[in-house]
Amino acid sequence: MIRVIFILTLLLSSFFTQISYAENTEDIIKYRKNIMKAIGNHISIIAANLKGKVSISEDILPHSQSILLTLSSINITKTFPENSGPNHSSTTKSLENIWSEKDLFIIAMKESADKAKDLVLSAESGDKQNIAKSLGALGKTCGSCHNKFRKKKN
Amino acid sequence: MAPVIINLEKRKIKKIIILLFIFIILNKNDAFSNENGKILSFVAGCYGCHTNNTEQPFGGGYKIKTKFGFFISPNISKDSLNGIGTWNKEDFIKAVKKGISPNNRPYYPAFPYNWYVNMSENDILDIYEYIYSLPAISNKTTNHDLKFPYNIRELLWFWKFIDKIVSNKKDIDNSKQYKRGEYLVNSVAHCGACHSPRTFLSIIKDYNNLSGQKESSKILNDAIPNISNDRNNGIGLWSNSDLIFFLQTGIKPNGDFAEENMSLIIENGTKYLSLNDLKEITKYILKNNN
Repeated sequence: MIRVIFILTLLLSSFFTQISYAENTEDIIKYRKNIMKAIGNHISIIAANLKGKVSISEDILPHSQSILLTLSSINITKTFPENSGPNHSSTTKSLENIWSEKDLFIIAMKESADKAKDLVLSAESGDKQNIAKSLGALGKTCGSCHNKFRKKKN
Repeated sequence: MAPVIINLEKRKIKKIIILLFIFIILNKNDAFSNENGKILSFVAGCYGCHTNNTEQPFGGGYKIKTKFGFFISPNISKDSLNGIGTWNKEDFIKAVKKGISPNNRPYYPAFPYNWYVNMSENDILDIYEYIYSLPAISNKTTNHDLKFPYNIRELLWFWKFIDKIVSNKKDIDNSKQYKRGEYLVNSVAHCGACHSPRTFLSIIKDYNNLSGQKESSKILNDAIPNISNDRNNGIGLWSNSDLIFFLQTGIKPNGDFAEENMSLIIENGTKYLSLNDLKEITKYILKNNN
């Protein structure tokens, strides 16, 4: 009887460990998707001003700073832990090479952060043409990173 | 005597001003023509497809991976040995509009002559002049690396015949300003080459259909999006300024960025278009539904 209880306990604990592990995986995937969405939203806010959809140009600088802050504070090891790739979840759009080519991924993220710095400088100058150029250059690094490390849309 | 000298100087000054004026006008016309050729060579994809190394513009060697194999773009610089340096203007127009080489060999439709057929000869010649204004590149490119039976070039005559029967290609009257957007989308920029559905043998049935492709003929592992003005599946919810901004920067209204191939098309093409042309493209694609 004790043996049966022991085995059942082991099985149950393994089952619950798997659930909590899966929950952690999905949570971190959702978390990093929110970070990317936040950056996308800041970009949209700046773009809306550049397109002339709204005229709240005083928002450009704080949102540029927010992009820089968000990008440069991403803790890659914690935000992209080993157990959160496509082999562990079907919901992630991350490709396996984020982990197999981690150095390249870090470089790509740094490139984006560098372009975000340029965007802040342009935003400080207030010159909308320069801001559009810097935003385009930042977008290019984002796109290049997505092309290498994000699953294509179907 | 003094007033005479002044009068002579005045005459001289007048002459100089007139000569300067003529010089500026002539120069302006040259610059405009060349600028048009430069912009169109970018927007039509000549630069993007025929440049593998930015140090060697139009020197060819760019590899396009498709389900038929690899296409390797030829050298179209003015080099006489490896480029198109021996071509005259008529050869160039025939190649661009009909997809036939000076020695009467058919080109693969990876070269989108089916769209260029509606380009004005003036625009084509501006591109020719622009390419010829650049240094010759001696780069020798390799042949296409295609699977059987696509590697039999003569079969393209049959393909051209079928294409003529199946397609609904229509002539665009590019002399009319209100058609400018259609001219740029359906001819120069050949948007449908990627965004129109293809039938059997990779033939495009409807050249005005920009509803995308489920599976690209290029091996990209992704679908080509619907860019019609459909509000559910296309970009019908985009505003005119959204589309203009996208074609200038690659940034979508949701803050995401263009996919790999489109970002290259923006980088090497649409970002060079004038605001007026971008507005015309937008008007044509979105049909002013917002």
